[in-house]
Amino acid sequence: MERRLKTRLLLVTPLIGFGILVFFLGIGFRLGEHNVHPSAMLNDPFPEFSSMSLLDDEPITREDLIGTFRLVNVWASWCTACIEEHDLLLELARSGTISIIGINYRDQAEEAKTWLYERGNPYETVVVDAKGEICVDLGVYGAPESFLVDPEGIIRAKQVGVLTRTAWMEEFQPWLEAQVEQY
Amino acid sequence: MSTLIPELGHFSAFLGLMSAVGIALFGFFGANQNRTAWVDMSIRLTKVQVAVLALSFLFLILAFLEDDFSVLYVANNSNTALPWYYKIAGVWGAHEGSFLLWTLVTAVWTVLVATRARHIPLKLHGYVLGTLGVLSVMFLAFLLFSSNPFERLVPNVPIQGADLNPVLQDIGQIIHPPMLYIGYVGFGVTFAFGIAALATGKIDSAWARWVRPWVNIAWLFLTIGIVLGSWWAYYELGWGGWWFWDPVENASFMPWLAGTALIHSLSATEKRGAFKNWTILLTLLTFTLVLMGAFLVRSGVLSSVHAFAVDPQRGLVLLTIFVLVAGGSLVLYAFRAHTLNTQVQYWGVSRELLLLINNALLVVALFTILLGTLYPLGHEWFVGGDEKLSVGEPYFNAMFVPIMLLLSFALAIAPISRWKHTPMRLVVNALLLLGGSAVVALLLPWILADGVHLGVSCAVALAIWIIVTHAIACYRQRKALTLGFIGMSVAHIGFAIAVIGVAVTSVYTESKDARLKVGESIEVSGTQYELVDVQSTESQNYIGERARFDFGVRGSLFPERRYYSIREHITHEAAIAPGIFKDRYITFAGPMENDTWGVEIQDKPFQRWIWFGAVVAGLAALIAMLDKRYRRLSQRDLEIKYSA
Repeated sequence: MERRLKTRLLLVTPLIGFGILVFFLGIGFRLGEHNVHPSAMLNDPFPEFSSMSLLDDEPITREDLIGTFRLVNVWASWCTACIEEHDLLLELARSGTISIIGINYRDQAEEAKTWLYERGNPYETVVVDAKGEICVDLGVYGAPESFLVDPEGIIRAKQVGVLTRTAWMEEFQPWLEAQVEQY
Repeated sequence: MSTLIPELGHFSAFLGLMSAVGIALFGFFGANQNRTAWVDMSIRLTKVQVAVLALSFLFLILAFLEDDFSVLYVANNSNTALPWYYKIAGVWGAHEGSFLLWTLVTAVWTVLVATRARHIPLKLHGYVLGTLGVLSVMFLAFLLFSSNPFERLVPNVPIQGADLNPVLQDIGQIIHPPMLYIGYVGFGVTFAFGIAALATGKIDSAWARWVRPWVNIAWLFLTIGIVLGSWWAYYELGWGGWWFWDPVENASFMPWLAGTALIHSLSATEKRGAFKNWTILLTLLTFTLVLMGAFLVRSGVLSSVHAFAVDPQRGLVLLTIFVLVAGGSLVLYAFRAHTLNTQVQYWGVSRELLLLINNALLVVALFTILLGTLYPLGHEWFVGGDEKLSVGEPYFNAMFVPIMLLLSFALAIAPISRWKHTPMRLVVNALLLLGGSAVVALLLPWILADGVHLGVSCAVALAIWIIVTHAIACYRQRKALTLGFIGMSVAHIGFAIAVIGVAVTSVYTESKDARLKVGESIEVSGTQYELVDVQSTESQNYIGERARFDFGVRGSLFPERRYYSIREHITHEAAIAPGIFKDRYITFAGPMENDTWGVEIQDKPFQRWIWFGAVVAGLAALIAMLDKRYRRLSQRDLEIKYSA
């Protein structure tokens, strides 16, 4: 009798394992939905930071960002989704549309440099954020993520996930055009 | 007429859904009530289903060929400038169309099972068809109600389409997804056999023998699909990697591992009536993993280079299908599987033990990958949103390599092992052969290359050992060699070939990055590569530069960098000089400062062996399937056989 009970219990195990699996898939799915409506940090000043530049090891702080419109882009060489937005970033940088600052998030310096070398570098400067501290202050959810920072250092637009052409044209570009009309 | 085409396609798919409902109902109730006429009706409906879905698929192809941009899916994935063959491939280039293909493949498998498996008992046949019908209903409902490839963009029809993603404009991409889907859905057939066994409460040698050919052919296609994907990534993505532990790759690899375990466990169930519960669980698990893969890939939960467009509603429906099918089958398992248990005696190094070790290792490997794939999700949940992590190559390699080495060890003894018990003498002889292989594996790199790498020597020694023991076993049995035994041996030898390829390529690849001016050269692994010139190229839908590199006596390679203007996308077309013992691989990064050009040159020894080994193993499944014991046996023959 006891033996039969044991067998029965054993046969239920896969079902329990499956339950746990579904639980995690469900979470992943819910987290994914959160991604769609981010509003944290909008219209807030870009946080203070002080770090090094990836390519020339020069110190860099928030002051170096201020004065013009910047596209701040969080990326990493391990981030597969970053590849998708890379062509758009390259195009924006090469056409001189906007100056792009990269934040290299939780990455190895060598791998990050190789990545940039292989795929082209759209960044004017890359800020090293090896421990993810700047990104915590920025409320970054994951890589990639992009912020539009105005000349006063205020975050004006934000994109969680891949920066698509549509998102660029609808959320980011109008700010640049408004700036041109001002002068 | 032509404006009607998408509507006809839509309608045909709807008819497919109707016939699927019929297949499911007639199949299940026919089996339940033992009504031959109902099961026959189900069989007939499978033919209707495959016909209307083929028609639906054909209509979508026509919409692509006619550049009918009033269809949203065509507008998003095609363009008038696209060559006709890529227009056809574009049909399955994104989510909606590829899912239509998926349902068509399901229908093809169903009709094959309906017509080719008439020799199995009525009850079993009915339940199998009923289960496949239910799967079809779910897939088609999902297709029609949340991923309709025939959705129209009226009245604002675009004049031009967005073009097919350039990395998908490639022959590898044309055949890779269909192969994968055939493999995936093929495991739906074995799933249906598992469910039918639970429903009838009967699983015996005959059942195992009916299932085995289906498993083998599904596994063959899945293997080929994975190999094609790997090969495509190797030459198309442009950085010479052949496996990335990307979530989508993992999603195809997990069912492959479970399917491999199933093939082995089935052999014990067939020959010795052993592991019955376990075999059934594997039939369910394999397809569960297939569905989980579909959810992961198509819901956007995990980011990947393969990402399909994300739509939350779609993900929810897929998750529901996953829970219903996999959860439902595991509930059935929990309540019914105890009726199947049997005790089988074996001791020492028996074939049963080896198969058990094989299954244990494959399942451990599977869970390792599952953990690595889903860990980022769990981590986000526990740690919160400010920290996201990506589990990459280091984890997978560190976990996977030792498991595969252990597996190789068990595998080498397989051909000399016997059911119940293997005489110690045979095991000792086999171990002596391992000594010989190890000497060869240590001496070879010492003679051919500069350094001996212990890990590689280990892997190569095991691989040579596998090849030798199987060759000897085949030779000894030459008088009474069955196709089943040949199939097993060839599959294992294929595995060994792939092991050699993986080990040598991973360690001995030499790679150099450089910026060269025209006329300059660089040395990689003892060969000089000269950048002879760079010319601009142009085609229907891209512009780019093409470089010429000369090496050795007469070798030339022409890597390209292409700019696809419609999607504003750059691709690097690597140039590869393939060889049995080494690939030369050049990636061209385009212009850098001061008239220099960025290049990466790689020397990749034994690269081809990986795919060659995998293809050999895949074909071995075909050989084993042709064994005469899988030819149809009538019920009467079986009764005579089992009463004896």
